[in-house]
Amino acid sequence: MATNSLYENGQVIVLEFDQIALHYDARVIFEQFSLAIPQPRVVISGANGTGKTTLLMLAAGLIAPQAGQVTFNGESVLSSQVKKQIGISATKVALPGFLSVKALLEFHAGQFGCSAEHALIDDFKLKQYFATKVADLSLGNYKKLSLVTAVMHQPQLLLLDEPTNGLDEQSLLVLNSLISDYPGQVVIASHQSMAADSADVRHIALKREGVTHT
Amino acid sequence: MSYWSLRLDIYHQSLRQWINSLRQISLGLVALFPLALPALALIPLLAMNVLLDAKSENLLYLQTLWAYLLLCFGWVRLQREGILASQFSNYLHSLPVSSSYKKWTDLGVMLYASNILIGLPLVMLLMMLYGKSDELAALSLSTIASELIPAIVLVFLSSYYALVALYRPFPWLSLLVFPLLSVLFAGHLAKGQWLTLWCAFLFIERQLPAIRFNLPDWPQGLWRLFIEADVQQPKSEALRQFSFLLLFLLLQICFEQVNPDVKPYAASILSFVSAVLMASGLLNTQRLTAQWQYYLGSLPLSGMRLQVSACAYVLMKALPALLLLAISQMFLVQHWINWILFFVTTLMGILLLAHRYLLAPIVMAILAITVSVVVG
Repeated sequence: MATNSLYENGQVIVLEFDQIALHYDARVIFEQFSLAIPQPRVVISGANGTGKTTLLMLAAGLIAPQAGQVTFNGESVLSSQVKKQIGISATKVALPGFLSVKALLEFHAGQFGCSAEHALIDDFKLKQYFATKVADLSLGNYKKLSLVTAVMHQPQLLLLDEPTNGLDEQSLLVLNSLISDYPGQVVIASHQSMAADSADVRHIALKREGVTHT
Repeated sequence: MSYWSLRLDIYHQSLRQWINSLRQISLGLVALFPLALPALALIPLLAMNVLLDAKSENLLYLQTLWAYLLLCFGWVRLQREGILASQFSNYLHSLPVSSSYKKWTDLGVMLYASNILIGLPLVMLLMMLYGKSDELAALSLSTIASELIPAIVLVFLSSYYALVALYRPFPWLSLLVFPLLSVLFAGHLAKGQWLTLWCAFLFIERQLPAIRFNLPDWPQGLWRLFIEADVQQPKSEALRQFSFLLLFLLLQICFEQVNPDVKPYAASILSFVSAVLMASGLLNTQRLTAQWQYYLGSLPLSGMRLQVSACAYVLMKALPALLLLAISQMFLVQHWINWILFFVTTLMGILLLAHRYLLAPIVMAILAITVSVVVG
């Protein structure tokens, strides 16, 4: 288990799941699930259907648990103010397909009060697709756009669901560099080995019967 | 299965999907009038009285013609994908069928889809020709023209707009601007002169380059998102605006023919239906926010801000309809107050009652009727 932690104003930055319960009809996804994550780099792994993506969705405040609460720095992630500190890239977080890439980036930047310009747009060579509709992007370019929207407001907590899906080798290098150098906390749900997979990374293995720390 | 049968099957399938989507959308008009479709068949029959009568008043004739052509255009336009089988165009192009046969099939399916709207004027024209065949030889050319021109023009224009609905951009000049002007200045020219001008505007419109509509940089933020969504998927909003325009024109035609004592009641109906119809635009934004719920949920937006922006956007979209109602002077103060009440209660109904949203304006209408009975 990794020992280093992120600090802000002397306080440890912690993503915390406290007594979470989440059911879909009769299927139990989480029951009395508690977990504190102070480490800057975390990889969540597990077989299909163990709840990796759901855990990220809970962390982003996109799903409200039926019991318990998820907090970031002690504040509920459901609050719209806390969402300014969170960025998420996940297939389940579908981007509005009817917008052009440029329109989406401008809209997104407007909502977060940040610039629509970001180095990652150039690194991912996305400018040439500015006029393209989001729905018409290839899988790889859609993933790149999703990563840009997650990162462009420099959130303290970056949540990435299978971030390598569809990326070519050049883009994988850009992604690995982003994850290595990112100043905030990065939580990744992935089955692939990546730059974050080093000794400083905390691994959390999700199993159907519960969570296993490695 | 022949090519023709396949195209008919595709059209029927598309029609079923369209009707299902209308039910899901629960557009105000459709939800309010479960018998709207049979009533639709009566409109052409009623319109024929005015349109084929050479002696009908200019204003009434032009209003009825405009409403009829709008109905014709809108009816075909809304079914365009099914008529042209656009969803399966790649497959259909791969078939060894000649392009002329494809064109004739398109035309056949269009006539089948528009049926009564084009068929009825054609049948009426043929009946008039047959019925007057004995007199035609004896009458002067000008008399024959004045008797038959309304019917010939109706057949021509309804067929023309049905074809335009399939193959060309929206005819804004000849189906919006010109008819509006003709209704405003109906008494200044004779009926034949107006029809000649209408045809001239058709010709001018065909020479004009297609207008490319580019959104300006303003507005930004959530309204931008809503506008882009409406521009990319305009069908349901177009249907709503089209339904309003049709309803407005039909009620205005009634307005001019009914007893003055009945006019306030007709205005009350228009006030209720138009308010519900315009407020039902909120269903579009609700669907949009449901479709992209996770993305919108990831933004630092409160639910309240999202809903307030959506309601304000729906009000903005209702402004052209309000302007038209104001120009027509059909509403008294009480109708405007009712319109606002019905509009707000429909919005509240959509936000709080979801698919049972019509209960809210209906309860409000009952209250409004009760108050008006008690007061006076």
